[in-house]
Amino acid sequence: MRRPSDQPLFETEFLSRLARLGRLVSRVRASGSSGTAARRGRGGLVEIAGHRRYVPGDDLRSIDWSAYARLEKLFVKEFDKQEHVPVVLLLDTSASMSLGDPTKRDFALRLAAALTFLALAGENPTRVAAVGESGWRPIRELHRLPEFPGILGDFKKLEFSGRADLPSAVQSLVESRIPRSLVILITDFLGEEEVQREVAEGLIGARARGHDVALLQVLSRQEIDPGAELDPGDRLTVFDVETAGSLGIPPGSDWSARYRVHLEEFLSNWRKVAARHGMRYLLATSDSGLEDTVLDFLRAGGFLR
Amino acid sequence: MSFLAPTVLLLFLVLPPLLVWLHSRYARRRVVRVGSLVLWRRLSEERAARSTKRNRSIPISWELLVALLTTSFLILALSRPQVHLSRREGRGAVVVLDGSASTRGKPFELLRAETRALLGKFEEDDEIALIQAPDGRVVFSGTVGLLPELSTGLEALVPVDRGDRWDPILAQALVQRSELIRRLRAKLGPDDPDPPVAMIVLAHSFPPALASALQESDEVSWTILGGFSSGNGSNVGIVRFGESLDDAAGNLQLLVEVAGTSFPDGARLVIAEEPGGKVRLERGLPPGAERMRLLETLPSWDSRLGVRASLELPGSFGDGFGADDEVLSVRPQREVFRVTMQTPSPRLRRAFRAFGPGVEVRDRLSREESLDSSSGSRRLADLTVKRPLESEEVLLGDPQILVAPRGDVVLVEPIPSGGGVRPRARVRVGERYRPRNSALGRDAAPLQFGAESFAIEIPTAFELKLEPEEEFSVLAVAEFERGRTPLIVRMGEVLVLGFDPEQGSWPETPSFPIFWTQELARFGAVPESGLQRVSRVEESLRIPVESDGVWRLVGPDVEKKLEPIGGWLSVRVDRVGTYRLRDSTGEGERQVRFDLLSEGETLQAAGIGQGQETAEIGEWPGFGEEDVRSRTGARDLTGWLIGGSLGGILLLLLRPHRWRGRRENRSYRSASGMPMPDRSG
Repeated sequence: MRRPSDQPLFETEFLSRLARLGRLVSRVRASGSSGTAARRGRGGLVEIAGHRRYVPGDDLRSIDWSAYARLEKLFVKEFDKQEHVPVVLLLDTSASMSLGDPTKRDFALRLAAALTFLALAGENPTRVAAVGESGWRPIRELHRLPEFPGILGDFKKLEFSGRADLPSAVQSLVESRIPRSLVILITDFLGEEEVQREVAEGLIGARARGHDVALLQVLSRQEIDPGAELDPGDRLTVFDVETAGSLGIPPGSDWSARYRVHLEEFLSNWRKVAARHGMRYLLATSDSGLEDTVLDFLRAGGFLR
Repeated sequence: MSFLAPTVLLLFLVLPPLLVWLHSRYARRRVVRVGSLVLWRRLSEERAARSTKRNRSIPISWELLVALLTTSFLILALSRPQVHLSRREGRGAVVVLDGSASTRGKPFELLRAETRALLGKFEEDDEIALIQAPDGRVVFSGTVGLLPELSTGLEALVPVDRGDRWDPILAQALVQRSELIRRLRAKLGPDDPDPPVAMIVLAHSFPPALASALQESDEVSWTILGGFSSGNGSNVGIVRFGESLDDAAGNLQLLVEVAGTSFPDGARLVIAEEPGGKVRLERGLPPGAERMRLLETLPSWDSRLGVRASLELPGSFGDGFGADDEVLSVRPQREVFRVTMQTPSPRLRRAFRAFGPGVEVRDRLSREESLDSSSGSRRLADLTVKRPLESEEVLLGDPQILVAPRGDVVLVEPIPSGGGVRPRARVRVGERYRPRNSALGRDAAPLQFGAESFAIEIPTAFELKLEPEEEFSVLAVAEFERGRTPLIVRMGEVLVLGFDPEQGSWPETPSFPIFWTQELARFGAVPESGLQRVSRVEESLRIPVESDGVWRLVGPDVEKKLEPIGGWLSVRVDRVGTYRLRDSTGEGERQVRFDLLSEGETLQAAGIGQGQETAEIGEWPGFGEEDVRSRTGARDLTGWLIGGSLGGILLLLLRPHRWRGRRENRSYRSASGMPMPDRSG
């Protein structure tokens, strides 16, 4: 599972897996389109993919008024647009992403590469940016698939260190003149509560600006269940790799269970934020299979059925 | 279950709490890299809040549990636990007692005593058949629990003159064997098809008729105990041996006395080291002589070897008998002793250290500990040997004699003024020296190797406090040349009493023959060395009673009235058995049991050298010793516990959990390229 340091991040095998993934997505998409309602929209064929609750910022034209007449609740119709939607991919490059076995960094980079590939394969212009200590830092803007290998070289050069200024990055996205896009944020969301709140507010603002927001939270197996590899009798010192702060945990037999309660609360908050504001959300562990994660993400995002 | 060193168990009060304290104080610190402290901070706050509500909980970890378990195993191992195996159900024995005319007189008494001792080694549920030769009469057949009936039958036996035909007797024995097997199977059930039944012949002599009869029944294993006979019917036996040592040259002097009605022509006495020793001496016995006393010297005797003395007789009595029969043997004594010394002089301490591991010297005794209740004297140190001794470092039985390794013997002698001890001599060591000088009394004789003098004064009456309804047994009376001491078993617990003339009382704690206590505890019987000096019970007991009325003592052959004097009853019996004391009202009743394991008298008492019947039963070859050991002996669990401890230590050393932690930390380090934080954080 662990990638040796001398093993290339994007080896030939990975690239062929991406190609397979592309074909698989095309196949699923093609089979899912049969028998669904479709309408011709501006920019291409538009299929009704489903309904979801209305949130401020949604296009009023997409509100299903007949459903409102029946249920007295606002639902918007979601369309599977077969058009070229710009994609903005934000990758958290904080030091915390270096943790895990395998590391979240490797997993996030492969995931970003895979999503970039799929976006380009669908002829969607893709803007890739890293979120580091200085906030938003554009890496490359790609328009066609042949440009894809270039981004792999950029990914390899990325350094994961320090704290990622996610709030400012999201705020920059909101304030930018980037047209409505599919914004994919790959991060672990690990940070102080205040920072988390600012990130959430920024993402809500992005939604209000009409962006489609997809959150891909990546955690390591050790972060999900640290008690599996630690002895309850140990006197723990937890060390924050981003702030260099540390904390002593007194030994005891129940800390693992209590940690999981707090973790679940943390994850639940993000799930609620996403659900309440119409964002796509997917939690993945760094030891998950890439193909499965990508397919799950596409399904969770409504890009696939 | 019992413990040979129960005081070690006190460590349970110290070590486990210490381990827990150390663990909670110095619990292993682990540094874990995390992406954010936000989740952990809540955890820390929660735990901090909880720890203020209640006392600090003990962090339980597998390492602590393994450490506690390992420590427990070690403590238990050091305490030398003994598991007393449950008795094997349904053992049986067919005993053929030679009551032919040739045994008339003293030999038959000896045989009867030996039979009684033999039967005493069985347990209540065991099945016994007792057959008298040569008439083949079944004296007793039943369970040992019917001991009074068996004793009565045994006591009533007298030698008869019915010829010398053993075939029908052994046939009767085989019939009884079948009957015993049938009864044992009925007890054990059909699942045990082969209940053990020993076939034992207690014979004064070994006539050819018996030899040929035994050959005919070769499908059954027989045990022959008793004297030996030459081809022409003369009785010959080695009756005694003693050993001494030449302190100048390290030679062993062996005193062997051989007695017989008439030595056959060509009879020889062979003394040899065994196994595989170089020394071998052969001495011809004068034909027709009745007895012979030989003082032989084995030059440069290797003390690690035993000595075997045997008679080589002309003629053959069939397979397994005749020449080279083992009559006696000297085996290295491998026991654990506790020795008290009077002072921890540097010279002695050097001698102690020469023993190496397993010998502990305690020279800081408390005032209470140092007071020796048996002698009233004070001692300044204890020496405890906690491992089997090699033959080269045999610890002499006397508490004040110590033998260091490599044959150097350190003798210590108390200085009368109480000023301690001084080394007295250095000699080469022999082995298996029984106490010759207990130094208990004022009349303690100077220590002399080879001297036949003893210094124990034993009174003829002693006081023993009895609880109501308490049963006790006088198992045997150990008799020394100048005295004797009873070996008393109370409630199954061996308690050896030694009389202290200075104190005029019997101490509750074992005194001089302490290794006998261990032997008794282990085998449930007096060892061979004790049996040699056991005589008939002729003891008086003084028993405290509440009632001033007349008491009745009821026993096997006696019923008499006793009147207490000053609240004490003085009871004197001259026969083994169980006695009951009843007061005149019939309300109070006590049971007093006098029981001998053996009446084998000492050589002197048997009259060797005094022109009496000379054929003598020497030491029995030790029938049933292993059997008794397996039935009632203790299995030492020390090895298992030490094994468990080593396993625990190995587990603690390997620490698989820590491996995982290291691997985890390595992975963080290699992946992030960041140095590990300071552990102090």
